[in-house]
Amino acid sequence: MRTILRHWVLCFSIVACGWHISFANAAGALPEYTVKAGYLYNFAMLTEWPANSLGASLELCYLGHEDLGAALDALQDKVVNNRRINIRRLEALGDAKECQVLFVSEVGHSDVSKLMREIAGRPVLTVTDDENVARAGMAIFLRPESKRLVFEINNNVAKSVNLNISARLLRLARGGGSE
Amino acid sequence: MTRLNDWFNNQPIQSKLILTNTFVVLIALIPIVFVLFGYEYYATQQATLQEIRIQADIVSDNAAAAMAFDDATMAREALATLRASPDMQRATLMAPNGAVLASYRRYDLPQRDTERIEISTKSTEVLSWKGFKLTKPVYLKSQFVGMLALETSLDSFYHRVWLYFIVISVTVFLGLAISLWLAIQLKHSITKPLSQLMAMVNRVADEQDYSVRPVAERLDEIGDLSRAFRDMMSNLQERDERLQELAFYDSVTGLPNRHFFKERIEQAVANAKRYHMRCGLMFIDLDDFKIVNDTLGHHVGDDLLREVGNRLSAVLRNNDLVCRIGGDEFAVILENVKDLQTPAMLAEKIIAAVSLPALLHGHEVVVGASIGISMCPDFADDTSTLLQTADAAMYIAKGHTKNTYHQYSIEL
Repeated sequence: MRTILRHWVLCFSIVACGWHISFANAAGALPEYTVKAGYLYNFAMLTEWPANSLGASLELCYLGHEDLGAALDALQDKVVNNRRINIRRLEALGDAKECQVLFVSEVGHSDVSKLMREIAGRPVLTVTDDENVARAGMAIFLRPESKRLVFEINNNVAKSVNLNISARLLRLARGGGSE
Repeated sequence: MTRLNDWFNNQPIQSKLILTNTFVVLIALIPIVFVLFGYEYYATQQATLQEIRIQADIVSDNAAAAMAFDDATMAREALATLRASPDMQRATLMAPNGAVLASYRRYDLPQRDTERIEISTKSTEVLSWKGFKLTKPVYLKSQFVGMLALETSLDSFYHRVWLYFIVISVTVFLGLAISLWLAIQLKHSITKPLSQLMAMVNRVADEQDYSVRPVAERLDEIGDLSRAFRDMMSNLQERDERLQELAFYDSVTGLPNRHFFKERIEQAVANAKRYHMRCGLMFIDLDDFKIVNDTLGHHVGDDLLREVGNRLSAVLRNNDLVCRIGGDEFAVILENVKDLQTPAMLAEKIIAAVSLPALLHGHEVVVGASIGISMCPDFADDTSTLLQTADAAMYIAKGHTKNTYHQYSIEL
């Protein structure tokens, strides 16, 4: 019930704000996830990875609800900073170190600590919409705030793995972002 | 126009010079002012528009991330930097679907519905007298995140142009003032010789003094004018002298005529009275001249008169004056006469000289002379009495035989 309400709230806010995403809504994807997918795309665009960590494509991985996967699929093959996005659903936590962006949504606590160990020291931009997961040391935390989706950035986390988050992005982050 | 022309023509040359000078400077300044002002207007306008474009770039850069995240607060903040430019009137950030994300309006402007603008990846610019409208797409990196629409007034542009206009006006005014000053300085060098010439002409007109000559050292038109004037004066003087001659001399004999005689007899009487001396007057009338004239013709008569004139001049003393005062009448003014016998002796000599035959055009011509003499102050106190008495004496002489003279006396 709470989730549905939240969806409704988001739906309303999307209509009220005239929400836009320049790419088409993936068929069947919930608006909440479409917005999150858009945010992920923007995060990727405003973040610099260390040069040696870059491959031909930008690996955008996710853990969580399949609805999210449907929204993220819309980003498949889009180009960000001259690299093609490749959407991967994380099947094994061990694959996480190959990701450049990792979105974690609704995952068990034990898995989180395991995941954190897997990617420790790796230049992975970690994003979550779960407060508990965020506390585990995620770089970006997405949360709703007065009918909007806002984000907090823990820049120390990003810096510790040599990720350079654009000042423009940091400026938009809510006060939770440590900087 | 004609009235203006008349007015101009009636101005003194100094004013004309100044007016012309100022007018020429004004005419010369007009194209300069137009070109300078036009260039400044264009350059300032371009600079102003460029400033606005740069501002739009900065705002859209600042707002791009906020727009990507649909963050109205931050978008508004990005727009708020426009407060620094007083010309900026309105600004709107629009999402790609055309919805307004954030808008800005200058504090003194009323709220109004946002104009619909076309969402496109092309910039548009509309420049009018009132202001400048600009729309441009906003990109975050290469992602299209919306549109920025700006509306600015051109107040500061007009202000700058107005300032420039004032500067130009002051410059023009200064230029005119300098040209005016120069013209006033120069007018003296041009008009001074004219004034001198003018003074000279006035002197000639007032005093009938044709002997004045302007100095004509200059090589310009005024020098030419002076030279021409000098030549004219020479001609005038010559003509004046010739007229004088015509007026006072008899054209047949070359002897002074009646006018001259009248002037001189007055003088002689006045002198005689003043210096207590004696002067005498002789009227000589040729006997039989009319016959010669009628029978042998005027040319013989004229020659005879000339011959008589010559003989009279030969006989008389240097300071005696012979005049021809009528057809066959001559007069002799004798000045500084010692005694009453001298005129009588002269009269005898004259009669002797005149009565000698003359050969004129193959004719031997013989005429005689009747002479009347009077003296001042012996027989007359003034000119008219002197004339009358001499005349009376001559009639008496004529009443006698030919070739006689008669000296007036009181008993007469």
